[in-house]
Amino acid sequence: MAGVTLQNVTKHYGTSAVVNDVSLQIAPGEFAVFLGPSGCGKTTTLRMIAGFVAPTSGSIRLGARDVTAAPPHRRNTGLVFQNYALFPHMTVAANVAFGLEMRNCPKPEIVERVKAALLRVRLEAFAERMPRQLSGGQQQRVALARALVIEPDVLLLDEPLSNLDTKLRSEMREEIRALQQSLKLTTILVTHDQEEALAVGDRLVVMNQGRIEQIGTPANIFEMPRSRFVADFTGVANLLAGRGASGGRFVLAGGETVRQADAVAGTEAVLALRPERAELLAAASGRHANELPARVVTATYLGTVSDYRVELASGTRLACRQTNEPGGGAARFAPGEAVWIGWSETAARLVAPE
Amino acid sequence: MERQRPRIGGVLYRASAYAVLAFVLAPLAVIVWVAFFANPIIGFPPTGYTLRWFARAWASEDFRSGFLLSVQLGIAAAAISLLLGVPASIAIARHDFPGREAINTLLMAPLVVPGIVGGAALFIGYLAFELATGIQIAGNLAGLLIAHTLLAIPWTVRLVTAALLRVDASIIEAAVNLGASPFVAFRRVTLPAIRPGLVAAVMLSFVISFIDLEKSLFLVGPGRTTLQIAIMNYLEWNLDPTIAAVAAVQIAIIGLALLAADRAVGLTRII
Amino acid sequence: MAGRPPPAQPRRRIPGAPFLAAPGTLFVVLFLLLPLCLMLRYSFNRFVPGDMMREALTGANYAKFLHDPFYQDVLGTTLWVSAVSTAICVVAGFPVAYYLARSAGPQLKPALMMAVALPLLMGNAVRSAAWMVMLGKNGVLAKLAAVTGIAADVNLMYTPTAVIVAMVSVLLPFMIITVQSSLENADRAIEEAAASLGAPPLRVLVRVVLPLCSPGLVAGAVLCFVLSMNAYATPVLIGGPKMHMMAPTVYDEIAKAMNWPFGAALAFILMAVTLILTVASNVVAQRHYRKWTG
Repeated sequence: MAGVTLQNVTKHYGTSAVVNDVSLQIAPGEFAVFLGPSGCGKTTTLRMIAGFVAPTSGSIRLGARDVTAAPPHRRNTGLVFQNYALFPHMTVAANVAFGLEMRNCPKPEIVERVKAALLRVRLEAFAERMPRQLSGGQQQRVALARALVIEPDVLLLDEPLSNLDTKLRSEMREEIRALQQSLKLTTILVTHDQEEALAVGDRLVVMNQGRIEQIGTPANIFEMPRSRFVADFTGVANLLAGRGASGGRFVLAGGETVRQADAVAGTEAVLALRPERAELLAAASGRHANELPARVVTATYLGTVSDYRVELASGTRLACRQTNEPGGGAARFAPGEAVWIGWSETAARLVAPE
Repeated sequence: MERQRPRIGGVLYRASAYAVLAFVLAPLAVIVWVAFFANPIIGFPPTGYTLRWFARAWASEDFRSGFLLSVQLGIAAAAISLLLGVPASIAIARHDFPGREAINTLLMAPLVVPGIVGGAALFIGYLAFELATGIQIAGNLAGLLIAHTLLAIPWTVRLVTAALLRVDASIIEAAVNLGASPFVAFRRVTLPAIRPGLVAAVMLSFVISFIDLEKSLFLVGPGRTTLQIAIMNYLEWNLDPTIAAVAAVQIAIIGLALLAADRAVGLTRII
Repeated sequence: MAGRPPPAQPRRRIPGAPFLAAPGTLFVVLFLLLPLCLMLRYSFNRFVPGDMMREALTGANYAKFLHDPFYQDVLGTTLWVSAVSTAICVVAGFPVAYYLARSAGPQLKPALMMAVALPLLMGNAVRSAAWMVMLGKNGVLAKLAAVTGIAADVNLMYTPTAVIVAMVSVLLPFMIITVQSSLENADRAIEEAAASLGAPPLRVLVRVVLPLCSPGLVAGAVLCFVLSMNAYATPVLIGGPKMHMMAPTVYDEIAKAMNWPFGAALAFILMAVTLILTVASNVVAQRHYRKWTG
């Protein structure tokens, strides 16, 4: 097992930099997640590690081995493709055996290891099937077995769950996580789904426009986004520009002054407030550091929760998510209703404006 | 999903579609039918049925040697065009290089240049070459084979390129990721995946060569005629059950080759 | 049919790649391009009976084609026969194409597609033979006419009508497949949308279907026209010795009269018409698509 080190890795296509000066160290046995919107360079970075894209500059090391110039078939990375990329003309067992054959593994050993690999993904009964006879989730597990059986230095997962339906996705997510833990395998997963990233990763690498925006644990990224982009991408719907005032106050662009613990007087910033961290009140309660009068614009009942859009007197709009009361029926507040929106002085966080 | 159709318009439209199909197929069906008639002169209705026209066609030196030459040419042209076309297809489908479009256009050109023009040019070229070097090509096997290979190349390149493009690039990457060198990945993954395209290319090349008339017209020599030329020559003076038998055999052979191509890849996708 | 090169997959530039294409390309250059150039050069030479040809740089062969009423007639007949055959193919091919693309059930369709595709490659000599059996004086149609009492002694062979009939049967599959594939590419939901907006079937056809598949119709028509311009077997066998069309005339001049310069000029005129039409139709079709796709 080996760690992965990227040093000033850059990839240009023509004049545009798809990956721009990325440096990163992933420890042996760590589960790292590259998170970002499409086109942010996360897949290109992964493909550079696998060797399918040559960096324009910079170096890549697997453990102590510099693989920057190594051809992909000599890198010993296990890559799981978004569309699984199973060989359509080979059985499940032959698919899994392929990498071992390439390593000139003796026949009896191949048989043993293929069997073990299929057992690990609970597909031992499907060894002689053809890939097209399997469901999406089963194909996914074959792809996983095929990548794991070669005992790769690093397991690379390129949006492996995006072709599965919601239920299967969370099952596979747990399965991948459990496999990674039991094998103590250095793993990199690429995704644009923040929930997936939070669920599996030891460490998240948020990327945007070819650069790393923020690196941190899931909780760290979720609770302490450093930039407007990271906040936005991790589901902070309320991003309110404003300026810090003295005494832990923050003045919103709309004119409202709110209490905000980390406000620095005179500094332009963006207040990032998660919809679920604010509370809608029928009347002012005094329970929150901030309570502002507002009017409900839309109310959407979503079962467990309801999503509201409310408008402050200044016209500033805020999103707010409330847990529905058991047996409460529809959303608690109706459009047009006058309400109060409240949040504490530590519920929100200030991030740098762009 | 039952869709309503207007009454009269719908019936007329369906009827016309089937009438047109019948118009295309009827002559071929009729000539196959006639090949089994006992009547020594083509006429209707049949007085009985026999297989002797097939025996007579085979006994005819012109038809037999024409048939054998056409089969040989078809197989050889398909093989050579595969040899020339597959590498070219790989270059076109998998690589980017300056002049790629120009080369693709050039490889497709034999399809666009009218057969009679290409045949005439080749004939003139052969004779000019013979005048300059004393080596004869026109009228012998090499000359014909070159012409037929030329006919097969665009089909081979087009079919194999299409097959290569249909191969999911990620399965090749998967093979390489698992440790296969590019050559091994081609042999173990790409080649099996494009096998249907190769089969179709061979079948189509054979058929295109087998039925060629215009290009061969200039290039056949005495005692060295393809089946199509033999049929043309025969038809100028005769129309009898023997020729119907020859036609029936040709229809059967081409039908089988095309069905094989269709099984490999959808035929209508490739024409 | 030739088309643009397929779109490139994401690929790497490997220095040796063009060399893979070299043998095939060289073959085509050597045996198609070079001979064509040679022939073009010969078309400016002077023909001297008994002496084949003399080096020259004259436009006399092209002038002869333009001024000699016999060749004007050959070109006229060829254009006329091609135009009529193409027009019939457009009208007769469309319903079949539409039926295949829209109405044929999933079981019937592959069979019908084969029924269209198989005749495409049966060989023009054999198909001409088949039409000779159909149209000749002992043929199917003559017999039918006699039995039903329409006419006693019918012989349709060696008439322009017979050539057009046979030609149409050769060309129809090309037309059908071209239009069918363009219909297949057009979303059928668009027709359903027109119908749901209140358009009766005929208006849907005229206002929506025909405009949508017009690039296919143009491409199919050009293909048919070009193929019939270049037809050899059908005019020779079905049209008989008095029916002169371009392709057989090229053959006669070069192989029989051994008048290479004039034959070469004829061949180039034929090829020029073919190429201009093909390129023009590609341009028209592409412009059309670009207008729709933005």
